[in-house]
Amino acid sequence: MIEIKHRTSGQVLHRVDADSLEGAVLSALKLAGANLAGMNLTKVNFRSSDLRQADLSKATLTGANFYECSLAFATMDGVECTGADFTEAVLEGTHAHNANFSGSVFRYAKLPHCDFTGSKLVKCDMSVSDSRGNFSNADLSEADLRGAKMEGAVLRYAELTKAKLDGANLLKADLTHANYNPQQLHNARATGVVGRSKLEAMKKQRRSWWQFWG
Amino acid sequence: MTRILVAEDSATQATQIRGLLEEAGYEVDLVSNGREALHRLRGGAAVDLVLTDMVMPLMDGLQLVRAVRVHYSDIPVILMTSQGTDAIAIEALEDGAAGYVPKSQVNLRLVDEIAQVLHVSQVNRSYERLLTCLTHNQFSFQLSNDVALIDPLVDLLQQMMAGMRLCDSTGRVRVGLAVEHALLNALYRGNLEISPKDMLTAREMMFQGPPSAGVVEQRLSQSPYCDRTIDLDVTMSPDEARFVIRDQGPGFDVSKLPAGADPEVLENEGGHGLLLMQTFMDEVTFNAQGNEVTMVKRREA
Repeated sequence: MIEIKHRTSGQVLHRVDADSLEGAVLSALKLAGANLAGMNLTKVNFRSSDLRQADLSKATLTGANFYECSLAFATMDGVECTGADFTEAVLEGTHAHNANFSGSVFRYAKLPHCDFTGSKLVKCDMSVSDSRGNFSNADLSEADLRGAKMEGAVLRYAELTKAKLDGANLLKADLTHANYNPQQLHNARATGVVGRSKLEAMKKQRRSWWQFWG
Repeated sequence: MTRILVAEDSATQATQIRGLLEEAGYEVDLVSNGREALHRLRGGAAVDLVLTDMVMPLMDGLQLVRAVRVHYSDIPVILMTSQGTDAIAIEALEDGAAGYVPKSQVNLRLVDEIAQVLHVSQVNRSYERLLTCLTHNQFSFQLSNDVALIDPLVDLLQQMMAGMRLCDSTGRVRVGLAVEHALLNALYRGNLEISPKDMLTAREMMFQGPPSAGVVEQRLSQSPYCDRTIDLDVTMSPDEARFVIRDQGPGFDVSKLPAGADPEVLENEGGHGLLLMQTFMDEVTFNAQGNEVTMVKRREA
């Protein structure tokens, strides 16, 4: 028997009659504030569960399913979370320093104010997500960020090699010392980007239709 | 039958739109927000076009446009705009929508707009494989004032663009629509000197057959209008496509064009074509006389 308890009150939120949570189905549960730190949650199905403010730090979440989950203000520092599914999940204010999310799917996910500093997001599908968060020192190489909302996002020292940025909104984003090719921004909205030194090579800045007439 | 997915959270307006579209022979699938629309598409619904409101709960029209552009780029999206949604609508047009209809003009323009976008999106792909071998293309047309030439010409240009892989299918539809609007403008406003008021009639006639009455028919056989031609020069390379369209009309005063963002443009029939040309192309410039427009579409990364 495994008991999932609240991270501060210790109240039991859910009991699982098994020796391990690996592969467990924990969908549509109310697990707000749960203490899941350090647990092996490989391939657990959390679909549509409420995990707001949960502590998942250093948990193993390989292949876990967080489809439509709320992970707002959850702690995910140091998680091993490759190949997970966060489609349409809410990760507003989620704190995930030095975590590994490589190969995970964040399509249509909402990540405003998240802090993914130093995390690996290699080959993640973050297309059409709301990623207005902090990705300083993050590795986003080969990530799919097409159509992502990254207005004001912090991408200082981020690795963006081969990341797809078509249609991404990077207005006023901070790309200081980030590693990318200016051509990657050809079809992105990149007005007001901070750290433009690498952008100077860009021959063209897209103009809105009304600016032409001025 | 052509199937249209309509995302509209107002039950009253959804019913009105369904009636209009079904009467025009379309099959209609109604959803109440962008998220539901995406779920339908993800579920494999066979959809030919998405028509969306701008302001909806859970996922708005702008997010839906971005999602369709990224994940279902073969499906064109048309926006229904209203007062107060102008800024977001223009952003959506820049991000991938293929057209828009002000809600105040749904009865008048919706069916025409859908017909035009669907027509341009149904490109004959028979030469697509062969054209991938093409590395450079340059050609010039001198067109008479025959509206029937515009459709096959736009179709040809889209095929050429597909071969050059300058942009995805949504991008090609948007370029096709921009060229179509520029050619229609050159024909009716430029060569035939039709007033903006009469352009509405001409526009309707384009979809209902050749003109049979009125000022358009008169000028098609009256000098100097009938003697004028439209020149189209096209240059395509794997990096960009450049379209120069020149009519032989008197032109217009370019300095009188709006100097800044005009929130009323979306509600104004006269600004429709110009707005689409500007949002769908990377560059649009006019000569000083106002009878030649140059439009450039650069390769999408």
